Parts: sequence; C-alpha cells; structure tokens
Amino acid sequence: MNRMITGITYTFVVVLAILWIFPIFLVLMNSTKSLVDFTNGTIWSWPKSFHFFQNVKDALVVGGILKYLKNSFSYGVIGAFASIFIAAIAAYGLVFLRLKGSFYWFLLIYSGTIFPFQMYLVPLFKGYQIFGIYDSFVGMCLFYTAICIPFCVFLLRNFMTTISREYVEAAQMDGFTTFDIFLKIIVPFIKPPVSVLFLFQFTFIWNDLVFGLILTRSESIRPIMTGLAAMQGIYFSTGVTTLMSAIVITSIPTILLFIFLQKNFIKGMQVTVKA
Amino acid sequence: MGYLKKNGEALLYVLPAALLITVFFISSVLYTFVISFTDWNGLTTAHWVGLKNYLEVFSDVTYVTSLKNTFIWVVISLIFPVGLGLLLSILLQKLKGQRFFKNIFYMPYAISLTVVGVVWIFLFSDSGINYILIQIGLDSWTKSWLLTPTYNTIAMIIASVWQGAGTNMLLFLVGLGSLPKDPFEAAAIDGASRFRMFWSITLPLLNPITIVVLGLSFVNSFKIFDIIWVMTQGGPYRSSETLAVTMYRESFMLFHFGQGAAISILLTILSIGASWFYLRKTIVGEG
Repeated sequence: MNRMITGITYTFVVVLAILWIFPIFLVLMNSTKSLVDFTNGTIWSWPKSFHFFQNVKDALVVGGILKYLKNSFSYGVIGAFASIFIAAIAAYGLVFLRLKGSFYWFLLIYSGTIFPFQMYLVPLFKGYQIFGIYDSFVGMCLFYTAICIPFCVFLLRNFMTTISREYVEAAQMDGFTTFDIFLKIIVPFIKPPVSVLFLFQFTFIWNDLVFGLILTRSESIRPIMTGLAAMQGIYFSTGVTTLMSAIVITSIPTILLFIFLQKNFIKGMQVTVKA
Repeated sequence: MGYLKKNGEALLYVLPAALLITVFFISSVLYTFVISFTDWNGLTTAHWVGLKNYLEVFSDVTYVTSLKNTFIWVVISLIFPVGLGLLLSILLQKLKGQRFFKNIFYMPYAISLTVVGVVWIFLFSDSGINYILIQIGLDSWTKSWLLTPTYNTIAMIIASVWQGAGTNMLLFLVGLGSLPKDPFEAAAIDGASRFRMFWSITLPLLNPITIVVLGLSFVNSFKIFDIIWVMTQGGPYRSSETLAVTMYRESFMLFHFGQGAAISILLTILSIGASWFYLRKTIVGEG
C-alpha cells in the first residue's frame, strides 16, 4: 500500500516537473535555431543548426539589449546598495538612538510598502518632468533607491532588535562616536540580512517593467525589462529566435543569483514570513 | 523645538529614509487622491467633478469588464497556485530528491514576469500549443488563445500560475517543516488514516502559513500588470484589462489622469482591505 502511494506520488511529481521545465527547455532550444530553421519547422522541432551566439549577438547589438543590460545592472547595484545603506542607518536610528516616537517614524517609512504602485505613477511622471530628471540616469537611481527603502528598513529594524544593547552601550562608554558604533559594531552583525536584501532588491530592480515605462523614453536610459517588452513587439514576427536568445540572456543574472544564493533565498523567505 | 534638540542626532539617521519616502510616495498618494475627484487631462485646467470618476468605474462597460477580469484573476489565483503549492509541498515533504524537484518548481520564480509573458506568448502562438492539439487530433480545441476574450485571461493566468506556484510550495514546505511531531505520533498510535491526519492535524496547524500565502496571492493578483501588459496589453479591444492595466491605459495613453487616479484609489482600497489582517499582523503585532 505504502509502496503504491510512493509510486503514484513519484509519477505525478515527475510528470508535473517535466511540464514545469518544458517552457524553459523550449525557449533554450529555439534560441539556438537560425531564423530559417525556425520558420521551416515549429517551436517543437529539433534544431538543425546552432545559431545561438549569432542570435545573442543580434539581440545585444541590433536589438539594443546590451545597452539595457548595462543600465539595469547599474540601477540594480546602485539602487540596492544605496537603499540598504540609507535603510540601515535609519534602522540604527530607530532601534538604538532613543528617538522619541520612533514607532511613528517607522510607520511613516513602512507606509511606502502598503500602496499599489498605480498610486505613484502619475505624480512621479509629472514630478520627474517638472524637476528635469525624467528620462535620466540619476532619476532612475533615485527612484529605485527610494522604492527599496521601506522593505529594507522593515527587515533591518526587525533584525537589529535582536542585537543586544550591551554592545552599543559598552562602545558608548569607551567613547566611540555614534557613527563609529554603527560601522564597527552594527555593520558586522547585519551582514547576513544585508546579503538577502541585496539579492531581493537587485532582483526587484532588474525585473521592473512599469517604472521603466513611465520614467524613461530613450534607449540609453531604459531598463532591461522595459526594453525587452518593446523589443518583443517588433521581433516577435521578424526575429523570434533572436527574441528567444534575448530572454535567455536577460534571465541569466537572476537565475545565477538564485542558484548561488539559494540558501539565502529560502532563509529570506523564512524571515519575511516570520516577520 | 525641544524635540529637535533632544532627538537631533537620531533624526539625522532616520531623516534620509523618511524624506525620500515622503517626497516620492506619501506626497504621490495625496496627489493621486486629490486628482481622482477632477477631470484633469494634463493640458487644460482641472475641474472638480466629485465622485463622477468613481461612479464611472461601476457603470462604463470597459471598466466593468476590467473589474470582472480582476475578479477572475483574484479568485483563480487563490485556488490554483495556492492549491497546487500546497499539494506539491505535501507530496515533496518526505520524497527522496526533494531538493531537485523543489528547484524545478521554484525555477520560474527566478524569471521576471516580463520574460514569463514573452515565453507564454510563444507557447500560445499558432505553432505552439495549437500545433500539439492538432497533432493529437483535437483540432476543434485550437484557438487564437490571446485574441479570444476570457480565454486570453485564462491563458495569462496559466502563465502566472507557472511562475508563482513554486513560491507557495516553498512557503508551505517551510511551514510543514516547522510543525510539531507529537500530534502526528499520537494520531498514528490511534490508527488515524493519512487523509484524516492531513485534514484534522496538518491543515489546522498550517493555518498561519496558509493565511500568509493566501494574503500574498490575493494582494499580488489584484496588482497584476506586467504579464498582461506584455502578453495582450489588455486587448483585443480592452477585453483582457484588469484594474492595474486600465489605470495605466487611462493615464498614459488616453491622458484621463482623473479617471486613472480614481481607479488607483479603488485598487488601494481593495488591496488594503484584503490585506488588512495580514498587515495588522506584521505592523501592530510587534509594535
């Protein structure tokens, strides 16, 4: 009886797993075909040529993906670092510096997570035009930094409440400055959640579509997903294989992060759930 | 002034974050709230129109369709990705090779929704699923999936289930892993069946996680935008729009900023209302 149940379970899970992996497999397979090869067959037929690198080159250069990749990489690194830094000092202020009404300050910052993004679109679009940062590198970095702050504050504040106050008080006795205490005592403690946060925020920025749509116009500023969405409209009829190679390369960074930091991913998930 | 003097140094640390949030988001919320009562189109002077934009949402056929689609998204997202996530977590819980399977089901989550959209346009194209249907003799089932109303919404939901079910599975696995062993041992001694144990012990103990998973699915399905924007742009003829897409189209393509703002406010009310319990747990629970 038990054996039968295990057998059925395995069969079911394996079938489902094959179904699950199949779309990825099809994309990979079709990204290696030449366009002629693709047009002569269907998306299910086995490739007769190996055109992957040519397709990637076309996507990067002709499709303009290379520029978008560079943009989003910069936004991801700058936005994630800046937001984590600003959030870390804020959390430090909230938890250790005896700020009166600190819970209300926290609520003010955390309120940034409760509204749907649609609430921000028009005001940001208008505001960015008025202040002359519409379609600019600085404007994008600022925005991504701001949008990542609330969640970082939330997580880091939670984490810092688990650090014993005695460390901080001892350092104060020894005459450390407030900022030195942050750098030398708090920073080493918060390294684990910071790496989780970096992963989360980089992925979030990398995957953003809608803010790229409303805050940018030119190719030199546009983030990757917005660029890819535009490319899809043009290439679907004229260069599907190039498009497939484009989605392979744009997914590589987040898949790599996912594989290397998998343990952190799950840990981060636990942190978010418990919080 | 006394407050400043006393808390000056601490404020220095908190203010950069607080200022950015206020400038970028809190002011935006107020601004959107105000223009939702106007007919502002970005060019001419705005007029106060009271609740007109709000009432329109429930009477104009385009918006009613959008409301209906949003409702379909929410309901199906509560059943399938959550149900599938739970099922997978139970099946995988004690299975050899759990890690391997877990990765496969979770993999699509590492891919952005935009890319997921492109992948599934590809699969729903004529040489995709339709080709297979013809091969296995189900010619009559073939459709222009993304061009036929309601089927296009279902097609996009399938894409989102593919992307999101793995996350729910992972959350449920975390939950299952932290369940106490005693009740199960006791039930086993009493000779309870597997199904009985699942129904009377596992499910009730899993409740806290289930609430989180349901809450997340609920809120995320309300706000779904990327997949729809990539796969159909809400078309054809605005038939597959959800509230988030309608808001975008009204604001950035038709320049009905007032109407768009009213829809944003409705979205806010719906999603905050829906996530109230969940939010209350996260904020007040530890404050």
